[in-house]
Amino acid sequence: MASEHRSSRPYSGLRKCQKAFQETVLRVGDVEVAHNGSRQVSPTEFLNERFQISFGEDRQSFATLVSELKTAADTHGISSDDLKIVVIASSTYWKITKELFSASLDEFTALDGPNVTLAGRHDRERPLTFTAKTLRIEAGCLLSKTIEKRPLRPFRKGTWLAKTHYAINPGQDFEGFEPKPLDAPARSDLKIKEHEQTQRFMDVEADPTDPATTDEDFGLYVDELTLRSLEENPRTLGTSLMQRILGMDMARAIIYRASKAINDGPKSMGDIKNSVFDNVLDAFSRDDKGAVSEDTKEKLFANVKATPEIFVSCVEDTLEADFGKDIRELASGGE
Amino acid sequence: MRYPTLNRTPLTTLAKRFLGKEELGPDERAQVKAHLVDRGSGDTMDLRPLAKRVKEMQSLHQELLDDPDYENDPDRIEGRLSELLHRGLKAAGMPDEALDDKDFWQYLVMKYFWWLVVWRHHTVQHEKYKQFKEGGKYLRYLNHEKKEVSVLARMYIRADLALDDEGSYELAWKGKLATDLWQSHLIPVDTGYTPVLVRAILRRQASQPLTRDPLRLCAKDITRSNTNVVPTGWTDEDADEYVDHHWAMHL
Repeated sequence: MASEHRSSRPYSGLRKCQKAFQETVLRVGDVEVAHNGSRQVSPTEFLNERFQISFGEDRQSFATLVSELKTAADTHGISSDDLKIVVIASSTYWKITKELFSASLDEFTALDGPNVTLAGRHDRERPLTFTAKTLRIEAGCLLSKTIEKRPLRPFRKGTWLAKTHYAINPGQDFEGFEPKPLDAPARSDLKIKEHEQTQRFMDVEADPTDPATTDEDFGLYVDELTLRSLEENPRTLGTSLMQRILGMDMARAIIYRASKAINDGPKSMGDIKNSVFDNVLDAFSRDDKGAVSEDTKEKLFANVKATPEIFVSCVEDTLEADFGKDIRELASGGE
Repeated sequence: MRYPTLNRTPLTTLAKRFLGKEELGPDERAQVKAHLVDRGSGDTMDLRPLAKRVKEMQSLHQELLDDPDYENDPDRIEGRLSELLHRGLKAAGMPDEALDDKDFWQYLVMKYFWWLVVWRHHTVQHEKYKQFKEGGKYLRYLNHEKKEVSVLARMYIRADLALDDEGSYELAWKGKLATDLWQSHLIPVDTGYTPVLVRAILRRQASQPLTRDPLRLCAKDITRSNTNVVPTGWTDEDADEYVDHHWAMHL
């Protein structure tokens, strides 16, 4: 939603505790996710690896966080009994939410260290069992009850003093550009009826930089027999390579379409906020802990405007490390 | 548990073949069955309780079409039927693995609910928006991708959110003309993560309805305020107070 995450925080004196809280890191097995970060893990990792949250890098930074939270509470005259630290997981598709951790500020202070296990292999709350769509995890320090209303201080139960969130994509997200069968009616609709041997068609007539456009307005079409063959043989090297090549074909088509739209406009990064292409830029602007780097994003945006093929090459570079090896193996007769 | 699935390719082919039909007959159902693929392991999911509820849904649907309180409000009919869908799947013991598998839902929609999805998307006012025709964007209602668009997904989520602690689903249809409310202001946004907040909004919309534009502004305000709170631990009273505060500004 375009306006959903626009935050208005009418409270004072919370900047330092928010900064300390941003040091909190989520771990899924060995994968680390930073403040407001997003990472992809395999479905197997998602279902089996331990979920752990670290409220600071070490005991010292944990002590700093506790101190900042207490200072913020004191500044606003909030009793530590009225604050709690929670971690909540939500399935973004099914809207199923569960609390994974909750402690009063005093209980939190008494923790043995910064690390808290949220889920082990055999004890997982429901949102951590859904692999088809992104999991959202929020951690925050919030009011556990409504207190007297005073200017510039939080008062309503649930209002947070500090917060962070993470997104974990188990790699089966089904809101991508899934291939559609290129059959006779589709060929006719796409005006390529006479080209019966065409195997792929990228329908990118819509403007991916327009916030009103959605993934559904684009189509990655694959010859129906070829597509069936890919679906019936999902584990072969050939299928694996074709999937990556098709993904690249679609990425290239979208990037060139976006480049044209941005230059025709002309459009700024602000103009394309929350569009399909904005999400694409986000995906390729994340650091190794999943947080979007605005600097990287601006550079990519400039690339798309001037030299879209550079961005295409950047996308190809992020494909699995085995991409080149797999091509060579197939070329030399491997299966 | 083993459960039936239908993947995208047969879904696309069959849906195109069935265009123009209001309901599927035995021949079409056999074609769907021919493409069924079981997934999972262990006992097979028993879909008979769901099939029973589907018959009840069809009969209730006919009744509601003639009910003056519902006849011009297809969204409200969808809300009434969502209870039976939810109950049917619960009675069938749907495992989370199936709930999370789009191909399971694609099987359900083609096996049991073609009539419902076609009806729902032919109730729109303008001919050009009727999508179940050659060249129409009908797959989006069948293929279980966007939760607010896929008819079965949004009905299931709607019932799940409306179900209160007493076991009543009434809030799923209590308000009238609630298409925007469900499809724009509840299911796709953060509000939908907190059933207690959703139910407070539904109670308020039922008792003191806002028309479309004030409702849109009020929902926007709530969504914006949601950025300041984590309402997961709220009671009904907490949520009512929060909603009242916003509602009062738009009356």
